[in-house]
Amino acid sequence: MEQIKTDLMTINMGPQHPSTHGVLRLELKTDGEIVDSCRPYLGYLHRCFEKHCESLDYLKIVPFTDRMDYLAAMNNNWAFALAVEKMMGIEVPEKCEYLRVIVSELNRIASHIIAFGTFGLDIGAFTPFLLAFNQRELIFDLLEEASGARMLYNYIWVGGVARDVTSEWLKKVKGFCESYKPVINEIDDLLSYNKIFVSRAANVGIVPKDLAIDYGFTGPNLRGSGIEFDLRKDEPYSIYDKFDFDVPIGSGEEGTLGDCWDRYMCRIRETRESIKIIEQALEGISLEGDIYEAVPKNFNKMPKGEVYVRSETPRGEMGIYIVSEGGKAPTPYRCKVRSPAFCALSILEKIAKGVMISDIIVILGSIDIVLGEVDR
Amino acid sequence: MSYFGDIAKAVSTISTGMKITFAHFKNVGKNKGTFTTQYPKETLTAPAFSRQQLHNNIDDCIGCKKCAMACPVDCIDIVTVKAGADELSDCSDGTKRRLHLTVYDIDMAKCMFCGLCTYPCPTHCLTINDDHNFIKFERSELKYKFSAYSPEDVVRIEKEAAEREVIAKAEKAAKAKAKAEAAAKKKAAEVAKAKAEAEKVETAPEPEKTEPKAKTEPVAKTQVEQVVEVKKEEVKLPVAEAKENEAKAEEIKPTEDASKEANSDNETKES
Amino acid sequence: MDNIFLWIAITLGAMVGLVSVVGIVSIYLERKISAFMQDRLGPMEVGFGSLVNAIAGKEVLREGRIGLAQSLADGLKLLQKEDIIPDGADKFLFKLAPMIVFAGTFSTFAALPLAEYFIPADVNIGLFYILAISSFGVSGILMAGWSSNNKWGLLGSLRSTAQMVSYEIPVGVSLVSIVMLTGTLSMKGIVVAQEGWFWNWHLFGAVGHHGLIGFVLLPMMVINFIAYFIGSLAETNRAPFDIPEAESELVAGYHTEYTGMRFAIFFLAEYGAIFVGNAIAVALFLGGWYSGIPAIDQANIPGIAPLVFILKTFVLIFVVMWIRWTLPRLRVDQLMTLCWKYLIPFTLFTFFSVAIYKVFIV
Repeated sequence: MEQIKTDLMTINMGPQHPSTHGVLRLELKTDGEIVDSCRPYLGYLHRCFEKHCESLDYLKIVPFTDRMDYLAAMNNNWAFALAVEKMMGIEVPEKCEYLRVIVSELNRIASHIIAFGTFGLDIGAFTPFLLAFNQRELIFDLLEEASGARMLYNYIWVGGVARDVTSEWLKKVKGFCESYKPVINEIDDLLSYNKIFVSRAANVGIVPKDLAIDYGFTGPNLRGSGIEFDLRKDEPYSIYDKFDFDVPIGSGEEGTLGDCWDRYMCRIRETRESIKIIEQALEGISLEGDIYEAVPKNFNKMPKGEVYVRSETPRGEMGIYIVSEGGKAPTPYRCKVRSPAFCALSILEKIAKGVMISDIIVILGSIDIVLGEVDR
Repeated sequence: MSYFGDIAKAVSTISTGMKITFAHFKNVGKNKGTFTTQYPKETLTAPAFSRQQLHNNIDDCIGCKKCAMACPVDCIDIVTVKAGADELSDCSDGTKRRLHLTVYDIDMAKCMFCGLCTYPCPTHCLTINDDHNFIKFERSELKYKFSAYSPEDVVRIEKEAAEREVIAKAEKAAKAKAKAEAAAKKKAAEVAKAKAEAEKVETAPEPEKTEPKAKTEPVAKTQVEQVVEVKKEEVKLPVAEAKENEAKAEEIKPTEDASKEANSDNETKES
Repeated sequence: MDNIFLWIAITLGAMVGLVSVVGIVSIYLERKISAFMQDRLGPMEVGFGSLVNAIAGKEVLREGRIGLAQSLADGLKLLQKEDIIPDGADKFLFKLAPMIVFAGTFSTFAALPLAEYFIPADVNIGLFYILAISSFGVSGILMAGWSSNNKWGLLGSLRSTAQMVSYEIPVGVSLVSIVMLTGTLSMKGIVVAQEGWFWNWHLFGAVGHHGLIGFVLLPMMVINFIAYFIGSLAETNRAPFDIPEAESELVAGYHTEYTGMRFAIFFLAEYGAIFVGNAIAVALFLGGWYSGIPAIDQANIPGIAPLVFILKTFVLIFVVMWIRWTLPRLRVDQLMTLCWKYLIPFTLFTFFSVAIYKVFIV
C-alpha cells in the first residue's frame, strides 16, 4: 500500500462560496476530505481606505470608516473619532459619550448576532440564524431612528454625535434589552448546547493561549482562548470605567480551551454583557446639553504629529494610526488601521492543517472575519 | 458509560431544540407572530430622519456650494451665475439670493448616503428624506437635476450675466480710469508746473470722454449690444467707454494697471 | 397483450403523477414549515389563479393567499431555464445521472402498499425490491458528481456514496427484524399483519397478536423504528445528514453544475425518496393503511385506506422537516461514527433479540 502514490487535490474555496463570509479565497490542498494546507488570498474587497483617507478631510473620513467593518460601523466610527479627538485634545460632552456607548454596544450585539448566527449557519442550523436575525432587525430599526441609516451610520463624529435622540428612543432601547434576553436564552437551548453543534464546534480549531498571543488575536477570539483582556475593562476609554460588566472568557467547558465553541460562546455571553452596559447607560444618560458642542467647525487646529488609538470593536482591538501634518484644511498624511480580523485570519494557515474540509468552514466562522475590514 | 451518556445528552438536547422550533411553528399568526413584512401590500415607515434621498428645495438655495464641498464623493455639481439686483426673490428665511443656479445636479448613483452635505447648508434647503423608492433602469436617470431653469433660460441667464459683467467691468474700469486720469492730471500739472517754472512747454494732452462714443456708434452692433440696447439704453455709454478704454490703455500706463486690477478682481469673484 | 400495455401505461401515468404531486406538495410543505419555524411566512403570492394568468400572458393579479401554487410555478420556471452542460463534463453521464436518480426513486413507488386494493405491483419480495432499487439511485449520484467535472460535486458524491452504503446496513437490519416477525417480504403481508387496533402496529410491538409477551418486543421495536428513521434520513440526504449537498461547505454538492430541469429532477427525486422512506416506515411500523381503530377500517369508506396511508406518511415527513429545521449538520466522520458505533450495534441487538423471541418464545 505504501507504494501507491496519492496526489493532493487543490480546491479553490471562494471567492464565490457560501461560507467564506465575503470575497475571501482559500486555496485548499486536500487529501480527500483531510486538509493538508489552507492558504487565504486576500484583496478582493480592497478599496484603498488608507490611501483614500490621505485626500479627505477628517470629517469626510468618518463615512468611509463605516465601510471597513460594515457589520459594526458604529464601533469603527468611534475608533476613528477617538484618534482625532486625542490628537486635537477634544473633550467630548458626557451626553455624547453615553450615546456613543449605547449605539456602539447595540451595534456590538448586532455584529455578534451575525457572528454566531452565521456560525450556526455554517454548521447547518438555519433556524437559530434567522431567529437571531430578527433581533438584529430590531437593532437596526433603533439605530436607524438614531442615525438615519440602517448599516452605515456615519453617526459618531469627531467631538460628538451626528444627531440627538429623544427620550422615546431611549425607552425603545430599554424595550429591546428586555426582548433580547429571552431570545438569547432560546438560542442557547436551540444551538449552543445542542449535541450535534457541540460535537462540530468543540475540539475543533484549537488556539492555545500562547498561539493566540503570538498571532495577535484580540477581542472575543483572544478571550475564547482563556485570556481575560478587554480594552473596555483593562484600558477603559470613553466612560467605560463607569459601567459594571464582566468579561466572559473561554473555559473549555465542552471541549478544549480555545476551540471554536469557546469563541462562539464568548460572543453569546458578550451580548449579555452589552445588554448590561446599555441598561446602565440608559440609567446614567441625561438628555440635556448640546451634542454639537465639541464638534470642530474645521480641522485647522489639527496639530502636527502622530497618534495611535485602539478601541474594542466586536471583532477585537481596532487601532487607528494617524500622521498629521497640520496646516489649513488638513488631511491625514498617513492613516493606518490595525484590523483585528486581518490578524485573526492569519492563523488559518497554522491551525488548518490536518482538519477536515467541514472544519475549515467552522474555524473560519468562529474567528468571525469581515472581509471589508480584512482588506479595507 | 459516556457512550450511553452521549446518547442521553443527544436525545435531551435535540428534544429541547425541537420543542423550541415547534413552539415557533405554533406561534405563527399569533401576536408574537412573524417578522415578515408583505412588502408591496404593507410597507414599513422609515423614521423621518432616515437617510434615503437627497432633495434640494431650489427656491431656497443660495448657491453657496458648501454642500458640494462637504461631499466626500463629489456627487453634487453646482454652477452658479451672478444675478442682477432684485432679480431673485429672497429665501423663505429671508436670506438674500444673489446667484442663479443654472446647474444643481446630484448624482444619486455616486451618493454614499452619509448625509454630510445636509449639515452645513445655511438655509436648510438641502435635505435628505425618507423617500427610498427611487429605482431607475438607467444609471444616468439617477442624476437628479434640481435647477429650475430650462436650457434656454440658462443660455439667456448666462448671456445677461455676461453683459452685466461687462458692464460692471466697464464701470470699474471707468472709475479706475477716472482715478488714473485724476492722478495723471495731477502729475501732469505738477510736471507742467515744474516745467513752466523752468521754461514754457505744451500742457499735457487731455483725453476726451465724449468722442469715443460717437466713434463706436456706427460700428455694426453685436448681438450683445443689441440686447443691451433693447433692455437698457443708458448702459450703452459705459460699454463703449470700456472698449475705448482698452484701446487707449497703451497710451496711459496707470490706467492699464488699474483696468488689469479690475479684471483680476472680477475673475477672483467669479471663481 | 393490448391490455397489458394499457395497464402499464395507466400505472406509469398514475405513478409519475403521484411522484410529481408528492414532490410538489412536499416542497410546498417544506417551505411553509421552515418559514413558520423561523417566524417567517413563506410563499404567499403565487396562487393558482395568478399562475394561470401568468401562463396565459395576462396581467398577474396578486390573488394568492397562501402561495399554494408556488412550487408548481417554480417547476415551470425551472422547465424554461437554460440547460447548461459544463464544457469539461462527461456529457453522456451528465445527462444520464438525473434519470438514474429519478428512476431509482420512481421504481420504488411500484411496491408501496397504499391500500389493500391499490398496490401497483404486489410482489412477494416487495420489501427486498424496494431496498434494492432505492440504493440504485446512489450510482446516479456518483455519476452526477463525477461527470460534472467539479471538485465540489465529486466530494459531494463521494460523501453521498459512503453515507448511503453505510446506512444501508442499519436500515436493512432493522427491517429484517420486521420480516422475521411477520415471516413475509411482501409489503401487503407485512401491513395485513398489523390489522386491528393501533397496538397491533409493529412500533408498539404488535401486542395484540403476541399477547402480553409482546411487551418484550415493544422496546426492541421502538429502537428499531428510531434506527430505521435515522437511517432513512441519512439515506435520503436529509439534515442533519445532508453532508453530500451541504450548502455551506460544498456549495451544492453533487448537483452543483446542474441547472434547469435536470436540477428539478434531482430535487423531485429527493422528495420522492423522502416519501418512499417514510412510506416504508408507515407500512412496516405504523400499520400501513389501517387507521388503528377497527371501526374506521371496517366502515368501508371509499378511498379512506390510501388517505390514511398518505396522511401517516406526511406526518412523518413533517417530522423529517421539523428535524431539518432544528438541527445542525454532522461532520462526515461523525456521520460514520453514528452509523457504525451507534445504529448498527443497536439494530443488531434488536435483530438478535427478535430472532431469539421468534425462535424460543413464540
